[in-house]
Amino acid sequence: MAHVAAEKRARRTAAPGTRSAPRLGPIGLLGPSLVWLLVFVVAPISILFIYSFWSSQNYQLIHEFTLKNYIETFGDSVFRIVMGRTLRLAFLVTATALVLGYPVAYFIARKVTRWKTFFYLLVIIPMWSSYLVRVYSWKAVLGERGALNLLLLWLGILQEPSPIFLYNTFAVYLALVGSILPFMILPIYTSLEKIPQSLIEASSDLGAGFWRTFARVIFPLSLPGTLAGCTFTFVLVLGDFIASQLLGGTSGILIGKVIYGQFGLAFNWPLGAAMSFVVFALAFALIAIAGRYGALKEG
Amino acid sequence: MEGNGYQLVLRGLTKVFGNGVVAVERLDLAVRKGEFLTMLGPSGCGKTTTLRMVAGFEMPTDGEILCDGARLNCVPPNRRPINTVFQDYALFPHMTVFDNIAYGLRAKGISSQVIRAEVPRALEMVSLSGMEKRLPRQLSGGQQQRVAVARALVNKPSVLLLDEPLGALDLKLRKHMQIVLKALQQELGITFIHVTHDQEEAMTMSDRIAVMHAGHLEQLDTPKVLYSRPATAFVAGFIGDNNLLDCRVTEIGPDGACVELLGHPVHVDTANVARGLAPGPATLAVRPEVIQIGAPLSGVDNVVEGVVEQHIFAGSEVRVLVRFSEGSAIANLRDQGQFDLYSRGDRVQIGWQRGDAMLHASP
Repeated sequence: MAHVAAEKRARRTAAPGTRSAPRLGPIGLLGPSLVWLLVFVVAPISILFIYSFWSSQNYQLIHEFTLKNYIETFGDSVFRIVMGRTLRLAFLVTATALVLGYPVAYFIARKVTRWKTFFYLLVIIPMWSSYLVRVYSWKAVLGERGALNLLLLWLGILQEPSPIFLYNTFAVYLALVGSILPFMILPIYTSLEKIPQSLIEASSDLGAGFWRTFARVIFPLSLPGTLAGCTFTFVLVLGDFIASQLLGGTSGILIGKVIYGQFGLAFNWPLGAAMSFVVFALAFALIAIAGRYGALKEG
Repeated sequence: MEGNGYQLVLRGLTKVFGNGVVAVERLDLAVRKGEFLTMLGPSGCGKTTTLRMVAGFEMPTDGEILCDGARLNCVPPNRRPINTVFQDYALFPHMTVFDNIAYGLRAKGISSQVIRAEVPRALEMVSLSGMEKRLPRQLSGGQQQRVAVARALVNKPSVLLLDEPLGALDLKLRKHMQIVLKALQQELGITFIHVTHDQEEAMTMSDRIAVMHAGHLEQLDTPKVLYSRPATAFVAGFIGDNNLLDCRVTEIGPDGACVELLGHPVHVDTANVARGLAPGPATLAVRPEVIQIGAPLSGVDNVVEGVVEQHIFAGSEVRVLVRFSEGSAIANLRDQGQFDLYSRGDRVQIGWQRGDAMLHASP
């Protein structure tokens, strides 16, 4: 409290100094980031949105308004199957990452005292390497000459290398959980770290054991970070096409891969754009719901 | 010891932190049932660490904590018959005032019917009736503080610990809360152990004060005795205003001590000489209000000469700062007519009766 008071005082004394500097005003301060957002986010999405109402014939764009792409998207059974699979996988990856990530975040935020930076770095370091490399590395683990097969051969469980570990939804699932985990851990860590120790002591002082304290105090107060982590994870899986492309084979195709196919091989940009927008709307709705529950408030 | 009306007994309590810092060293303290005891001392004296050991947040390195005769050392905080009012209140921000106060009762598995009756009663006790549905952030600092008190007291603890509970409040509110807390304690008859570094707060609220210094208990007694008969130079300097003057004991005889102070011989009554004091360097403690000033001064046992350096009009009294060849002393004069008598640079004599100063070992 004294600290806050001192800060306020400092701000008050600093005020006359800042007043003499040129005043930018809200538009001036927001300007650069607004321009950046307009040029690199709003503009491309708007163009894509327009594309989704055009059509394509013989690799030629037809600039006429039509809803046929959306009708085709919703009517397409492949889209529905893949979309369903993607949602299921996104849910599964999110749940797994939450179960694995929460204890890690809790451990670093509340149990470690001296090696905090070290553990924090352990979580972040994988993100310094390319996502592509991280996905590729699973081939070295799950492939026919991969680490898993070598291990099973050495243990005598397998007589010859098996190809069944790679090119399926499970391989995609593993790669996604592995590479997405930091996005789950970091926001949870942040919100757990912010919980004052005195609240946990107060809970214990009032007669609550560890699990009661966790359920009534720690978990509710970490909810914003937990929701943020879940939203990140879910949306990242929805948008992924690399893991699906490299490890998914035919049974592990995700919606990102299907959209990628429309833009690439099929050269049907309008249909790809329409599919993108269905996914985009879904992701946007999820973020909005999570935001209502405080996921975006701080983190 | 525990059978004789003592609620909480600390025996040889010691805390050494991992980095080798000794926060509390062999502390012996017995708190009576229904007593308002304050642990007073400067920051770093070990008072908060002691409180945290009693609450169960810190494990003692050595020694014993006994509550109602039962050894508490290995009992986790959630099983101790002790509740705490935290310095920052530690109210759960996501819970209403009702849920905050009900927290301890629910943890004990008390029926919701009883809780619905107990919580309003606890709120009434701290004059916050009708605030059940508020969130902590919708309350002022003083109100949050009272919710914290209600949240602890609703559990009817054997001992209530208060960790600098008034530190964050402004002066006026702090004075008010001192009276509220004292009245609550007298009404409920619960043992309060209060930690503060504010000696005035300790004096107003406590039945007894434990003055702590560098991990040790310096003196444990009533505010009155601490003020009039401090046991050490530290207590003399910490409780109330005092002039601590370096001096030299030349002789300790049957009718008091002879002391050399700035070249003047000074006498101190036997009753005012710290026990076990031997000739050599010592500290003479003279309260500002017992000092008289004159030029010259007559009819006073001990007289020292100095120069007026400053004089301040402070409402009910006049404070005169007199500088000696080494050190200085402040005299508080009740007679405001004396204000104009002295001015800066005047040579004066200051003096006091031999029964008014205390002689302590040098700190």
